[in-house]
Amino acid sequence: MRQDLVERARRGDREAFGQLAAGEVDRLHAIARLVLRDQDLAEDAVQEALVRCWRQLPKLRDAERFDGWLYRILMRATADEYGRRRRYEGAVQSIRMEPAMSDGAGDLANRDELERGFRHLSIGHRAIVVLHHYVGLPLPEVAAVLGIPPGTAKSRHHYAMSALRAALEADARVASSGEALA
Amino acid sequence: MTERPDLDRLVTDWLRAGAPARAPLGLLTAALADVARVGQERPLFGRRFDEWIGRSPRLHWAIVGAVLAATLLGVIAGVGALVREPPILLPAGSNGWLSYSQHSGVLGDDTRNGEMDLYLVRGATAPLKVAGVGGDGGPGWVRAVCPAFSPDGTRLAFAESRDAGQVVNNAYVWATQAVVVLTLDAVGRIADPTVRIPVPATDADPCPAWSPDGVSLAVAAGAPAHLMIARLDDPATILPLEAANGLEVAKVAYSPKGDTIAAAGHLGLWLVPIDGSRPRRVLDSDSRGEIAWSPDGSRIAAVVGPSIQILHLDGTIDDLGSGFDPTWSPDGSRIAFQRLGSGTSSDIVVANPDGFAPHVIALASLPSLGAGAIYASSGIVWSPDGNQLVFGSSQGLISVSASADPAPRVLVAASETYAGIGGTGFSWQRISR
Repeated sequence: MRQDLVERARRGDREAFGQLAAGEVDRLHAIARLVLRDQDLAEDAVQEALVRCWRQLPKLRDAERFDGWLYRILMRATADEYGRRRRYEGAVQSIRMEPAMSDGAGDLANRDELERGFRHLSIGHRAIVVLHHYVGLPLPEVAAVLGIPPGTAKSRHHYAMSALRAALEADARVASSGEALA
Repeated sequence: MTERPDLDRLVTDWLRAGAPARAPLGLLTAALADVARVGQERPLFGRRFDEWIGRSPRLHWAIVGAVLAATLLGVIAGVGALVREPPILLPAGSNGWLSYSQHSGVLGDDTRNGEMDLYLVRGATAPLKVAGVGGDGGPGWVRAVCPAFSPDGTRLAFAESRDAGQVVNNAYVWATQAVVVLTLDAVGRIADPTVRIPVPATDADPCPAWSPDGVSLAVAAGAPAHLMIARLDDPATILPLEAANGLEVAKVAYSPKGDTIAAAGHLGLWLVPIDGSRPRRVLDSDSRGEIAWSPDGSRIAAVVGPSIQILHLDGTIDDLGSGFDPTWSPDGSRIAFQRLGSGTSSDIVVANPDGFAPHVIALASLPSLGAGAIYASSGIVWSPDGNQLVFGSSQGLISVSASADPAPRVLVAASETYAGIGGTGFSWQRISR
């Protein structure tokens, strides 16, 4: 059914594309929100990604690879939105915190530490973390989506995870020293 | 240090907890509204080609490499050409080279005055000889006539006869005859390839007529002459058009749509469909003079006996009165032809196709051309921009304005030794790019 929608949309069927987009928009929005950490930026990125998807669909070679192809478009759109907003608002900006939909981590301290650590990552590193840990793509597939060598994806993932670990451990050190002072 | 769960698991849970379950209302609507305003990008060579290339990255890179190499060679060649001689760049739609033929023999030397050379001229440049005696180093006598630029202006076809052996019934008998197609660059130089297509011997000139797509040439050739089609595909071929078998024709002309050839002979004028269906005779009297399709393909101007007739494809005929050499303006709004004027001079008449509102340019009354009678030896040609008419005359190659004030100008002066200028027709290149 979904592949049929992709085929029809590829041939220029706007109604089919509408149905296809309706099935994808929640997932795309969640990914963009996680990467960009900003609601407005995420919405703009998803909107732009869907327009690019429509325009470029006739060039999609294999309808079965639609998911990875769409992720790649979304990641480029998120990077573009992030870069555009940075250019307009200055290199340093205060990105407002968005309330989480739920506290699945169950650990408020960890959540804040991860948030802080994640914000220090580049948009490319964030994309790898989200595609691997949230979407569930193996790292070689993440590499294919982002158009980078698998080795690069692995090293960037390692860097990102090290940065997040460092953020958590730094917070733990502050907490330990606080306990010691007390 | 507080004990923490596995970092991978922690990050995964944190992301899942922070991911919104639903996109905001209105996001999809806004995106689809944007989509409704844009089209899709289609693959350059179609999806199948794209998929084929996609399955073979080596082939992909081979093609990319070949394109880059060809581009590099093209740039090198282009720079080389620019260094040698800068091309004359003309805007699209403007007048390019005018091609004409003139005698190469000496007047009075009847043994060789059948020889003709082919020239190009443009603006104030000196005429360039592109074919004829010494033009290409060919042996013996050469008669290069009936120039015809291809519709895209990049090639020049003409009729070539070589090695006159004898005169029979006051006509030269040539050993070989051919249709030759030259490729010309912007400065009138002959570039590769030159195609020479031998035709069956004929007692007239095998004057070529281009198909609108520039792929074929129609020729009247053989004895008696019949309609043949020369294709310029690789390899070039020439074959009789079977549907026209048995028709003896002298002049041929492709329709502007390319689906029909008008073929005129001493028994009438036929419209010969190129799809092989039966020819239709539309005139039953001698119409061996010039025939000219109107640019929209709805009418044919033909010389029938002493007069010019406009033949409508619905079967009706308008008679424009006495005249010869009819030729349509590029936009089809006017027709020019010659008629006998006072004394030995001729007049050029520019009229509406219905014959009304004629504007007569009396060559005898053109003061700036000097003393003596002026007669147009043969043929008139419109400039591609529709502003000028050029004809060959006893005074040389003359240009007049097609408007009320003829403002004559000598493009190429005739001399004692080189006359007969333009006697076998003209072709004026239209710059189309």
